[in-house]
Amino acid sequence: MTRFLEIRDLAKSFGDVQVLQDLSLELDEGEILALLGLSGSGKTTALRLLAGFETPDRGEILVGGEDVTRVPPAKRGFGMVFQHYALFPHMTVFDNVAFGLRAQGWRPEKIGDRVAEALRLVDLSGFEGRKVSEISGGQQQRVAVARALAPEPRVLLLDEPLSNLDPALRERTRRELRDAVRRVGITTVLVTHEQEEAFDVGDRVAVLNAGRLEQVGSPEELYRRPRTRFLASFIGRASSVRGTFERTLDDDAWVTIAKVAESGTVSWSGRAFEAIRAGQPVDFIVKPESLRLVPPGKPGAVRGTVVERRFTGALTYCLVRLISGQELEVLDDAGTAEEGADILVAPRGEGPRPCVFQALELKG
Amino acid sequence: MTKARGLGLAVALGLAWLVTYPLLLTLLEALGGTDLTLAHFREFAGRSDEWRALWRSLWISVASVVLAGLVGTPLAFVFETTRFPGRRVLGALVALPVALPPLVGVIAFLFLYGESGFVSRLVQTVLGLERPPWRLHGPGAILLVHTYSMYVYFYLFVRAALQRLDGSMLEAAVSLGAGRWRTLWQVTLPQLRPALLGASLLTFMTSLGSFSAPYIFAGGYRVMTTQIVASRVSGQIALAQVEAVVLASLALVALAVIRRLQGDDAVASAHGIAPRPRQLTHPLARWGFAVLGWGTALFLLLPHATLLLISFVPHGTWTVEPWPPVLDGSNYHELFSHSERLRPIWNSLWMATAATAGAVFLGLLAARQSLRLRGRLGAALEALVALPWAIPGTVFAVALGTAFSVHAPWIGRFVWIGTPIILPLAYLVRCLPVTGRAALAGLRQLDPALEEASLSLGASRLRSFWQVVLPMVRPALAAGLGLAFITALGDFVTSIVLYTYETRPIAIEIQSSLRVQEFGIAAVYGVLLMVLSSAVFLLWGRGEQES
Repeated sequence: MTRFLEIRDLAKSFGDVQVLQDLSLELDEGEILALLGLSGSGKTTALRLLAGFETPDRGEILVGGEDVTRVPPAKRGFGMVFQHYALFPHMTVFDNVAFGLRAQGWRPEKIGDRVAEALRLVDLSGFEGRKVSEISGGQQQRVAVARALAPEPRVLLLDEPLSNLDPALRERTRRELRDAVRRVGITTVLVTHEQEEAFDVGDRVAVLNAGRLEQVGSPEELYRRPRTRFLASFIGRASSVRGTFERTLDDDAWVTIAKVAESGTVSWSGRAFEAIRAGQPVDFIVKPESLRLVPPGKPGAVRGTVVERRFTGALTYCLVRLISGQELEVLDDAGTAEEGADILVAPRGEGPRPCVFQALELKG
Repeated sequence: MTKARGLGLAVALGLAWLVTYPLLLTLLEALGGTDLTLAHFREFAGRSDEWRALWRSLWISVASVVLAGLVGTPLAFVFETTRFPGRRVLGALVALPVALPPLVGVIAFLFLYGESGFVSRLVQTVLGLERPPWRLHGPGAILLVHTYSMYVYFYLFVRAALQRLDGSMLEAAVSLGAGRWRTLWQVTLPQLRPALLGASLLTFMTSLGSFSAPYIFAGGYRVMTTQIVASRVSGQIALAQVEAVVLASLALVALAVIRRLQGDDAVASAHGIAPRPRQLTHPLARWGFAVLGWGTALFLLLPHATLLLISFVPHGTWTVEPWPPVLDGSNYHELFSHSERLRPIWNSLWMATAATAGAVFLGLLAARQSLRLRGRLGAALEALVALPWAIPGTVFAVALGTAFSVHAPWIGRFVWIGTPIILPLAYLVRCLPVTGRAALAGLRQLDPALEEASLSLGASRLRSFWQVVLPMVRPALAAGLGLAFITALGDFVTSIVLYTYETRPIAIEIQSSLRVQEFGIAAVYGVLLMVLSSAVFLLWGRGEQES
């Protein structure tokens, strides 16, 4: 069975800068895909290629088997919600939402019903006559969603649709957005630099880095089993500790031993995605929630000093400086460690597996 | 993108034909046409009166910049940094001279301070003098009128810059121990540099191209613009072309020099909040400022008032009395009951309308293509639209007269001189920078996502343009349209070179009336121009606020 939206080997450069390289993605009908990446990762370019505002150098975009790569935006039938909404300030809410219907030649008697329906979907019934400057930022965002959905597009494109809202409003709006999109059942591509947003809204998440697709998968998969160094440190918080590769044990778990203490060594295990020789230096990338503070006498622990304590409310994190001088972030369950205290850190049984990559010789 | 490129290229060619082609033809003919010679230039260089005119144009322009700056800048400070009774109304009134067509301002000054002017007579009577106390003549008179009409540039530019000033920057200076003067000299003024240079540039170029004031006040005291017209009228076409080339070169050099000075100005982008106006609390200071302000306003409105008064003085009734003995509407009646007297009004109205419409259309088209294409073609489009601004009106008139007096359609030349086409065309070219710049400003401010949103909703490019882009740039465009219309409506400088009796505009009729001593009739025309211009100016002002 072919997928509904297919992106094949899409590439785009501006001048000498290659902003997108060989991007291939497939979406089922009704699926929500989040394109996650830092600024400059190429995610916005990917979205603009999908919308038809840019033409790719190579590659194809297919919707339901139809090649739309060179179809102009007006004929593409894709709806888009812009980062700053791009609501037409000289029109009312009604005229904004009706704009696409009129442009696409809907019969006037059907337009009123469709606008009402679209506004009901985003819970803005009764706002038809308002000017867009008279409504709040969150309401503007919802009008933008209604406007994009009104003409019943084949694909919905969301360009950082929540970044313009203040944090308090963002989470609620995000939920409403996700529900509205789900209810319509429209195939959606969401571009965001917020991991939480991508994980919360996307059925699957595609992570872009420097114009390349790093990995695509369910949020759970990206969190538990990142395949690249970038992902291992990009998803959530993570620290990197230098160690030495020792040996592999079992089929699915390569085990590395990291020398992290001055007096003697301990062995910590993680997952490796590349072939590493024994004795080679490695980076051990570990999330704070995979480490814990342990009482003295526990085997496999390293000694360090708490240099910073970060209290976020529900959780407390400690930044621990090891004797080697390297720093690790650790989730402190009890929340009792104080700055300056000598403590011991050990892996936790649960939590995402740490990742092991060949050491990057960045400095000296 | 190829379609956009094709359209951009077509627009660029059309503009080049209108803007650069006539100038190049003028240069070519000044060089003797096909038998290339420097003879005309040599003749120019050998005549001392030419050098004198060139020198006068230059120093009068520099002096105008200094005087206008000395009046306009302090006024801007007063209105922007202090509060006093009547500040808002006065602040708007102070900008009024900019809406007065140059010739109308000149005749108003003539009626006011000229030998038989209102103020002159008053002083003469009060002091019991034999003769008028002064003569409004020569460079002094030119500078007076220039200062009166051009300080507004400094006033508007500096006020706008003061509004954009980051108040916290001044607070930072004060908190670092700087006194009021140090802050003014070392923080505020450097931030105003771009505004001051911008106003200087505008004033210099306007003065260099100024024609009405030297023409009316200083018959024998020739500057370049009047010299060109005199040469042309006396049939020395080649000499007029050489003079035009020289004046255009001077203008372009000045433009380059001032642009260079503007070059690398580091001005903090407006993040902060402008400093609040200082509320004057001491009653004496409040009233002092109020009296000063209203006094200034009175002085500024005096020319308008005088024009109005003279328009009610019947022909030949005011001789030596300090106050006109008879006032009635006979001049208005005379004007409105003779179709031949009304003709210039219709001429000016239709020609200005056609020119403005054309300039708005071309300016918008060029601006849009320039922004869409960017690159070299985009830059060329922007430069072509802006060029007529740097070229004095007299020069353009001579250039258009040169280009469109030959029948050679295959090289884009037609005999349009003496036809009703030439004047609207000249006005159009002259208005192009104003409308083009307005369109560029409007389009630059426009979030490109708005048009993209429209496209993604299925609207065609044309529909997106009409329903989304145009409504958004309308306020900016209205400002350019208003200014262009005022310029075209009151034009004297290009008209005097290119008009025919059938197409004579209001300004030409004013000049003819002055020549036959029909001061009342001239004043009525002046009042009509003033009213029309102010009405457009006020409409335009409202457009600004909405944006």
